[in-house]
Order: sequence, then C-alpha cells, then structure tokens
Amino acid sequence: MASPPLYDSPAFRDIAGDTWRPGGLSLTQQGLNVCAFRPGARLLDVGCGAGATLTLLLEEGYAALGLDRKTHCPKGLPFVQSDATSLPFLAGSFDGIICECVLSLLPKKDMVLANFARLLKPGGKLLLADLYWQEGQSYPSNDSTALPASCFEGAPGRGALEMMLTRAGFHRIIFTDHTAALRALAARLIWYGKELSSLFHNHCQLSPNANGCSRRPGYGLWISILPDV
Amino acid sequence: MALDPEFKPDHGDWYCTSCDVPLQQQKVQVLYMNSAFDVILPRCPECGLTMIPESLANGKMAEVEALLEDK
Amino acid sequence: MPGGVLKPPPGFLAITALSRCPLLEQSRLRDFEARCTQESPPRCRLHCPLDMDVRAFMAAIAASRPNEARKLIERHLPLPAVLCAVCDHPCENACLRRDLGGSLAIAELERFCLAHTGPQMRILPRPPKKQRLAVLGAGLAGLTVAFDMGRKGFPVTVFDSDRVNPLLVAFPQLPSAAVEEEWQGLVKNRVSFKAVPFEDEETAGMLLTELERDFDAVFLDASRYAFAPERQCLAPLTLHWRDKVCAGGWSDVTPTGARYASASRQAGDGRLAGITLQRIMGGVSLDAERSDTRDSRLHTPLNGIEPSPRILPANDTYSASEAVAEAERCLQCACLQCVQECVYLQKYREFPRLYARRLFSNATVVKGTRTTANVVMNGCAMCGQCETICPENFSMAELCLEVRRDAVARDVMPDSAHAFALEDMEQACGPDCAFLLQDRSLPQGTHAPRLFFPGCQLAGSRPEQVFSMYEWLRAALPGGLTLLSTCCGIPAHWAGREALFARHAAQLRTLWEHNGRPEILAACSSCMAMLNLSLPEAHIVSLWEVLDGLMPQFVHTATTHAFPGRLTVQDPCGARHDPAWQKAVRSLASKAGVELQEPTRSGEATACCGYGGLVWNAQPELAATMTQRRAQALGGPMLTSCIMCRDRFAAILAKPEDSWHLFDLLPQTADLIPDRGVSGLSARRAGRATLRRLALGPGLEDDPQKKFPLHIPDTVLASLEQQFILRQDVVDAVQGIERTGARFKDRESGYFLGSWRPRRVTFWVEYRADADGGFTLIRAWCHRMVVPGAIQPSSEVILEKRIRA
Repeated sequence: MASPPLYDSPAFRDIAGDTWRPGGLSLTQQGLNVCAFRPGARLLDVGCGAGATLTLLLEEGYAALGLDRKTHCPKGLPFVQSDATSLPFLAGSFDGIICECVLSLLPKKDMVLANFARLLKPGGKLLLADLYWQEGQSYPSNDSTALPASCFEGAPGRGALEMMLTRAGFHRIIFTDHTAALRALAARLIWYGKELSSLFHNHCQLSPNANGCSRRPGYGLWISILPDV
Repeated sequence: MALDPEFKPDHGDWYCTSCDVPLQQQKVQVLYMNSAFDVILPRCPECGLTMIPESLANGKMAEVEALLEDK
Repeated sequence: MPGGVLKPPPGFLAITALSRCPLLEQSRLRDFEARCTQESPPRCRLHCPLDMDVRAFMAAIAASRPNEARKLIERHLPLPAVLCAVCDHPCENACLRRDLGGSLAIAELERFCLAHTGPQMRILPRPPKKQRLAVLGAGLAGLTVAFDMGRKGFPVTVFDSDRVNPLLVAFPQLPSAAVEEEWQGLVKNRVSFKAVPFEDEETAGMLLTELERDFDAVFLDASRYAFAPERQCLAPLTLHWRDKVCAGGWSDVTPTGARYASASRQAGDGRLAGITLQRIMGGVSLDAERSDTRDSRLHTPLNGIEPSPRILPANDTYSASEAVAEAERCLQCACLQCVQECVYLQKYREFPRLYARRLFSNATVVKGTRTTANVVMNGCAMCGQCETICPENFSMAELCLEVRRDAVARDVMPDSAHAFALEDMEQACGPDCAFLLQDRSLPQGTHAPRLFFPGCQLAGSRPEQVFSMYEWLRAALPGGLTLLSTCCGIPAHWAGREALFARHAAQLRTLWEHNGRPEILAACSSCMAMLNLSLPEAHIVSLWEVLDGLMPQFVHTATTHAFPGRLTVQDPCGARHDPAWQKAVRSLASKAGVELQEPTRSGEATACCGYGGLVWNAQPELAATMTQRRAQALGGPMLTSCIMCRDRFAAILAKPEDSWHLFDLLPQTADLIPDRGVSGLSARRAGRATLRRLALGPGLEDDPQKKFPLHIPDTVLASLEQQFILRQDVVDAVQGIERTGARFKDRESGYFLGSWRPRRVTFWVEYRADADGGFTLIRAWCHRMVVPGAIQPSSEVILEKRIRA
C-alpha cells in the first residue's frame, strides 16, 4: 500500500470539504440531536481533523475538546495532540465522545472502544460514525493488530463492531444507516477526480462493476450508551 | 474549484441560433438526488442555453446517476 | 368449459387491493431460509459422530491438495493417528455412492492423507484453566475427552493400569507407534497419566469417590471402567450420569451377541461428554442449544450419474494418483438444483438460502439502500422455475417480490430500475392505445358473453394478426365478442408497486363489470395470472384452448414464410402451471402439421426468455444472457405461445424467422406476419396505436408520427433501442426544439442540437434539416440529471420540487 491514505490527499480534502467524511456536519448534528447532551457537557472529538465538528460543538455550547495525531486543527480551538489509541485522560472524564470516520483507521479496535468506555461517565454516550462492511463481506486481510492502510481496509463488519461495543460495556446501541451519504461523497469523487476515483476503485468498488457489484461498504451512525451505574 | 471537470463539445463548432453568438465555457451546477455537482460546459453567454455533450451524458453522468440510485 | 378459473401459482402472492406489505421481519427470513436445504450436511457428515467434513476432504484430495485435506482431519477428528487407523467408518455406509458403484473409500483415503502429509496445524498450548478433569480409563472415549479438553486448556489426568495397552487391546490392528504418537500430543496439552489399578469393584468405587472429591469433572470410560452405568441409563444428548460425572465409550453388541468396539461411536461419546463436562465446570445449562437430530434434508439429484466402481489400490495402500481417482468419484452432494438451471442464480453465485439472508439484511437497514440489494432483487425474472425444481419449493420469485414491495414501501427502490417498463404500461393503457371495442353486430345495450384480451405486447407486436383473430372469433363464437386492448398491469406487479397495480385492477374491474362481466379469452399467460388476481370471480381461459376446441385439422396456407416441419416448443413461464394451455398449444401445432419437440426443461420446468420480472429493464445484459441460454437449450427453430419469448429469440437468432409465434401457424393469422423479423420498443408503441385504428376505424386520430417528418436511419434506431429511447421521444424533441427555437447549430456540418425534457429524463437530439422540409436524426442521447439552462434559457430554470429522478 504505497499510496498515501485517501484523507491525506489534498485533492480529497478539497472535494469532501472541511469534514473529510460522508454526511458532513448535518450527520453530526443528527447524532447530537439523538444524544441530547446537557448544555456545557464535556465532549471529546477523537480525530478532530480540521476542526469542523469541534467548532460546531463549541457553537452548540458544549465544553468540547479536540484530539488528533496531526495538527490540522486551527489555532485557538481547544486541542490536544495525541494518538487515539492511548488517550491521556482520567477515567470518567467525559459526558460524550465523538468519533467520526476514525475507528476504521485504527488497529485494536476493541481496545480503543474499551478505552472510550473507560473515559465516559456512567450513562455517557459514544457517537460513532464510520464505514462498515455487510455481513460476509469484510476485507480479506483484516488483521486487527496492524495499522490499516485505509479506512476501507480497516472498516469493521457491522456485527463485529456491535459485539465489540457490547463487550466494551455499552448496553444500548442505536444504529442508523447513512450509506446514501457515502454514495453522495463517492459520486463527488467520481465526478471531480479521475485519479481519486481510480484510487477509490482500488480499495473497493463504489460504482457498479461488470458483474453488477461485489464488495461495497456502508456508512453507519452508532449511538452507544453506557449503563447509568 | 481547480478540480471542476470541463467538457467541450464532442465535435464541431457550435453557436446559439437564437442569439447568434458563439458558445463559451462556463461553470454550471447540475443537480441529482440531493447532490449538486459543478461542471464547466459550453453555454450561450447571452441566454444561458447549455450543452450536455454525449460523452458527458453517457460517461460521468451515467456513472454518478447509477451510483446515487444504487442501481 | 375446460380449464376453469386458474388458481394463482405458488410464485404469485395474492394481494388485496388495499393491503400494504408489512416490513420484512426476521421470522419471514427464517421461513424462507428453512426451505432451502443447501446448507444441510451431506449423508457422510451427518452419520459421523465427529462431524467430519468428508465432502470438503474429498474435494481437497481430488484436487491434489492433501495438506488441505490434512487440515480438515486435524480440525474435526480427535487422535487422528489412532482414529483413522481403526475407525469403523459409518460414513461409508451412508455414502450415496453405495448404490452407484460402491461407496467412497473414506477411511482408506484418510489413512492415505495421514501417511503422505505432516501435521498442518501448530497446536499452541492454551493458557491453563484452573479447573481440572479426571478421566477414568484410557480407552478411545477417555482419550478423546483428554484430547478435546486438553486442547481447550483444561489440565487432564488419565487414570488406568497402563497408558498404551487399553487401546491396543480394544483394537488389535492398531500399531503401538500410533498410540505413542498421540500420547506425545496429549502430553503437550497438559494431559498426564497416572497408573492405578481398578479391576475390582471396591477399589474402583474408592477411586471414583476420590476423583469426585479432588477434580472438577470426571469422565468414566466404560470400555475400561466396568462399573459405569449402562448406555441406556443416560441421556443420549449429554451422557451425564450424576453431579460432575459423565460416562461413555461402551462397546456394542451385534444382533447375534458378539461384542465389538465402534471406534467412531466411542470417540463420538468422548466428544459429546467433553462438551457436557465443560458446561458442568462452567455452570451453564447442559443441553441448551444442543439437539440430537441434525437436518438431514439435503437433496442430491442422482439422475444421470453413472455408477462407477470403487478404485482399489494396487498395493496395500493408495498411491497418490489412485487416491485422486477415488476421491473424484465423490458426488460432492449438494442441492443447487435451482442454481444449475437459472442464469440469475448463477450470476450471483449463491444459493437461495444465502440470498434470503442477504436480501433481508439489506432490507432491514433502517435508512438508505445497500449495495447488492437492488441489483440482486431486480435481477430475478420471477418466472417460478426454481420453486418447481426445488424439492422444498423455495421460491425466489416470492422472496424477490416481497423485497421489491418492501423497497417501494420504504421509498428506496430506484426509479430507473423499472421506469421505462412502467411508462410503457401507462402508454399501453393511455388514450393513444387502449380501447374497448364492443361487438358492432349486437343490438345496442347487449353485451357479448366473451371478451378477447390480447395483451399489450401482442397488440404492439402483431396488431394486424390480433385484429384478424378477433374478427374470426367474433364470427365463430355464439353471442359475439368484445375486444379489450390495454395492459394487464403486470409491470406494476413485478416492480413491487402494489398501489399502482391496485389502481389498475380497479379500472379493469370497472370495464369488466360495465360490459356484462364476460368470460375472458387471454392470449398471454402473464396477463392470465394478473387478470386472475384483479378479477378473481371472472372466468378466464386461454385463447389457445378455445381455438383448439373450435378448430379441426386444418391445411396450412401461409405464403409469407416457409412453413416449418418441426419446431421445438417453448412454454412461456407464465403457463408453467397451466397444463390446459400447454396441451392446447401442442394440439394446435399438431393440427397445423408441425411436429413439436420438447426441450429438456419444458412444461412445468420451462425457463424464462428474459422478459419476466422486468429484468430486461433493470438489467438488460442479464436478460440477454437468459435469452441466449434458453435459445441454446431449445437448440433450433422454436415455437412459442408468447410474443415476448418469440421476439426476444428472434432478436438474437441469425435467422429471425426461425422464431415462431403460434399465430404464425394458424390460418386466421399466418399470412399477416410482419416483414421485419423483430419489433423493437418504439415499433410496439406504434403497433398498439395501429390496432386501435384498425378496431375503431381510421381518421379517428392522425398517426402522430405521420404529422412530423423525422427520418431515423437504421443505425441510429439501433442506438435508440439500446438506450431505451423511443422514436416518439425524439420526434417530440425535434418538434419541440423547432417550435421554441432553443437550439445550437454547428458551423461545420450544419447540424442542429437541442434538448427536451418531457418527464424525468432529458433527451438530446442532433439532427439536420432536409431539403424536402423534413428532418433526419443524426444521433441522440439522454440523462436524468437536471442541468439548468439545458432545456431552455436559464432565466426560466425549472427546479423539480423533489430533486429525484
């Protein structure tokens, strides 16, 4: 996998806009509406990127903090540079964690999710949006200890992900599918970038191939809630 | 945006018969299923009559339409 | 009247006009899944107490991949070096080849595999569990418990007077080296051995008490421990005796009283008991999720399989080539009967049970559609062949119809899948084409007792023949005949659009009731099925039965085409369950002097030509493959009673005139075969209008095409057909563009270019003005996206209220 990750390509960022993921901020807003955090809630945006979601959270009046491995976040926003696999916070620090299109890039997802649960207060909520594979369609080499080369390669199967969430301690999981948003982003990539669309096709085919279709991922939103005690 | 696709007529030297002026490459927005896409197309600068070349219709448009419809 | 009311065949779900399809549920999935038996184990596996995957093992040996075969042994069989040497192979007794030349030499092939390969799976010792097991008796059952539980990390101690001897005594042919080999493996998994005597009852009893005290679970190997309870005393599902003790491994007695040890049974006991003991130690239910009957329903078609004798090794054991040859005899028992016949099932390479699961997991997604859902559900021709072939009557048609309806109900069915077919249906029912012609010879106010319903495809493709047949029937049938030309609504049914179909059905009902509730003569089997749904109380019969009753032997007088002596008959899929239809067709052909041959899959098992289920619209390439395959299977000039079959075959044959419709043989209609071999989409639209003119008289309206002089060269017409662009569309486009003047002109060629959007599609036409005042079409294309300014100047942009195609 010599090619750089998709999200690192300036052309991709250009096309996808400031939020480098399907659905954009309207999807984040939908998730926030379901979570209904109290005003001033302490939220952590894991993998905050250019800070679009972080800005939204702050505007909505939450005590939000952004975290990322790279420093694309504009100066002035509350930001911590760190790796998502080793979050430097005390247990029970947050009312909510936002994790959008990041989990698919991480190894050892079960540990990451268990860590999220640790950082949340009782009754805390995880807003997770990411790619996922339909049952029986996961990427052939899904070695959970290696760093995925791309979000497609690292995307979990839906069943596997929900099992990991349950094992991490979340007792209620609300799922909605937003594959249409993924398709819209894919459509934009096809429309605007020939070199990008072939990159897309290499990872997985989002437009119909000669056989009609084979592996295509979905995009989903999971709101996972910890028990109150 | 630097990446906007551009399509010229597939062949020929076209002009608008109502306005009798040659066409210019201008940016327009095409719409489909809640998504909008920018593209630069041959267009009459006076009346705005816009051409969709066959290569665009049967190429990118067909591909994106099928993708969005999930056909 | 023969035939009577045709009950809808199993593939068609009965609907009421106002019912709404409930969203699909898991229980429906189970219902569907349960019908497909492809996942049931083959007989060999079913009869093996160790659940050995013999079928896969044979495939690996036959493919010269013995290492893969070895992996299967290591995965399923305990103590392979011992077991394979002494197993009594119940699998061989169950093998279906037993009556087809001799069962597979499974045991010998397993020995071959072990001899020619090394261990494949590296057994890493698991972290030790805290709980410890005791096994009393180093027989095969006891050592199997030690093997299985040792692998899972439980420390096991085996008690017996000797480590190796028990097995050697039970199985005299067993080499001691095999036992030693397996013991090495056991020791690696923390199995230890302790020599104790326990021949007399008192010692044995004390030992057992001690073990129950010191260990967390105990297994009694009945082949060694004489004081274990009898097999009949224990529950066969768990082999549980009391508290933490299980027993197993008894020897068996033949009907004549001889004792013998069944290695497979003893090892099977050990495996079963091991699971129970693990549950005892885990404190969970002993029998939850365990059943003593496995699904034995797998159907393996045996017709056409040649008996072939077992390949015996030249020497003591198999050589590599002998092993491959023997393994190749394996039938690879599988059902897949439907998949073998159906192009659609083969394309997606899955069998119906997996389909059901895949379609349901797609459909239960809350919002948005998933990738394969649309393609898979819209590729089925809904022809009903699979459920006829399937021994369990699994119906893809039923499944796909439910999924399509569900997609429509949740508003996630893509429009473009069936848009053209639905528009075609609207046109066929519309004022240009649809009509009801009452019998002019009857006095005002009387209704004919019968009504002829040719169907929109036959009307479109053969308007002259339809009218000629109508006139003949009108004279031949007492009381006269009404003619109704409209669509039966099947495109709406196939597209999953129940509400649309219901509206349609209501309109048909109004016509039927206002015209004396006549008996209906249908020329198309799909129409018949739909009419039965819309008008269940009507008497509906096939045209062919009626003609067969009216016509004796007749002399063929056709002069247009050379008369065939022999044809292969293609039964339309809609007539699959209508033996009266099939019989009438054959009778009429015979009366016409044509010898009919039956293809392999005929009558009830006939295959679809590609028209069914709107596959031709949603997936034209798949439909084309269906047509090809069926034409090949028919193997020569064919006769059919469905115009869609006829036209689809004609389109791909080198000689289109080799594809015959029954009309082409009957004297009323044989001379009216149109010149062109095939009729395309546009021609069919024009044809319906032609029938209307023939019936209602000329001059009632002008032929819209004659109004506007647009010439379309053949090559351009072919391109239009491929893109589902109708002649009418381009005519309207050129006309409209000329009227508004919103068009481009090319200085080089002098061609004009403009666009037109009559519905959710924009058509582009490049054309030239001819000297005679007419126009010639140079090329045309279309798209669904909305481009402001593409239709008219952008100062009047029309934005559709809901930007969806």
